[in-house]
Amino acid sequence: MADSDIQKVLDGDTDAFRFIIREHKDNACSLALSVLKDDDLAQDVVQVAFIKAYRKLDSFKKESSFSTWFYRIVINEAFNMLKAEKKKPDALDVATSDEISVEELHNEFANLEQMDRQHYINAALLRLPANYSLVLRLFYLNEFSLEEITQITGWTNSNARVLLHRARSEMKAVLNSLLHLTKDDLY
Amino acid sequence: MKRTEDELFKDLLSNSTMKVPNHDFEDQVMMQIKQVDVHQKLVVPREIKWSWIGMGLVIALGITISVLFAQLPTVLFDIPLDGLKTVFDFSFITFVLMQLDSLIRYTFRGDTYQLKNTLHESRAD
Repeated sequence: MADSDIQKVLDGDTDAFRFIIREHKDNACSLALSVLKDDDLAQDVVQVAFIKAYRKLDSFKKESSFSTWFYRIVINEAFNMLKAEKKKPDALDVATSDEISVEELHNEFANLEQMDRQHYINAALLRLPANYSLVLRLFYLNEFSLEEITQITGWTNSNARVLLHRARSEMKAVLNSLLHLTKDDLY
Repeated sequence: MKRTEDELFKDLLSNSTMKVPNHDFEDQVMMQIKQVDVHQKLVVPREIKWSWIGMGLVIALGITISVLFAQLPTVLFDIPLDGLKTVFDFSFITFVLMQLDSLIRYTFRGDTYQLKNTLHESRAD
């Protein structure tokens, strides 16, 4: 995102914030959804996060990228909302199935239509605990480095590594069990 | 092997972006931001002004009561008033200091509480 948009907002041009919203809303919502597993709550959290970011924009020091700074707000708000809703992260409900290799998984997904693929991935992410789906999205979707992930989440570097490793294993297990379901069961 | 796994996950997760389903999302956020701006510029300074006036009145009233207390005899209707005066003075000073602390924070550090209220109100609409 252009620093000029931030500067414009700081100079009093409130409407310039619309470009910031447009650029970050989808990724922010995906991250909030990783934690909350609920579309409506995720949208609420992102709204609050944007307003907080707007109000605190003058405290953004540009030591990190805007997205790192903003996603930290989103994730903090999401975990606060999770506490407020007293929702416990969903327990894993993975049917015991044989270990699947990366190659097999790749082949299975290569045969799926794009829409089905999206549905399987999102269904799997919804079944993963908050931290696992969060670290997967941050690392593979947003392509943040482990260092940036520690800045965004407040985890230690080793914690982030361990979470990423476990998240990959659980994701494979969940996808494997989902791929054994019929489409009717999944949709 | 590791590289292949990373590639697979990158490929899989590229399908996981959630599009905000609400088409009015940008407008809603901008509207709330403008409400917060208006609230911040118009309502908050007025609330703060009245809070300071109220605080001044409370302090004046407290001092008046304290002075009146001091003029009372030490025993009234067989009730010793010395202890009561001390309790009143202590409670009054504690109350004023606590309220002053909140008011100073509210005046100089912004109002997160008001922000949340504004959001809840607009969501309820």
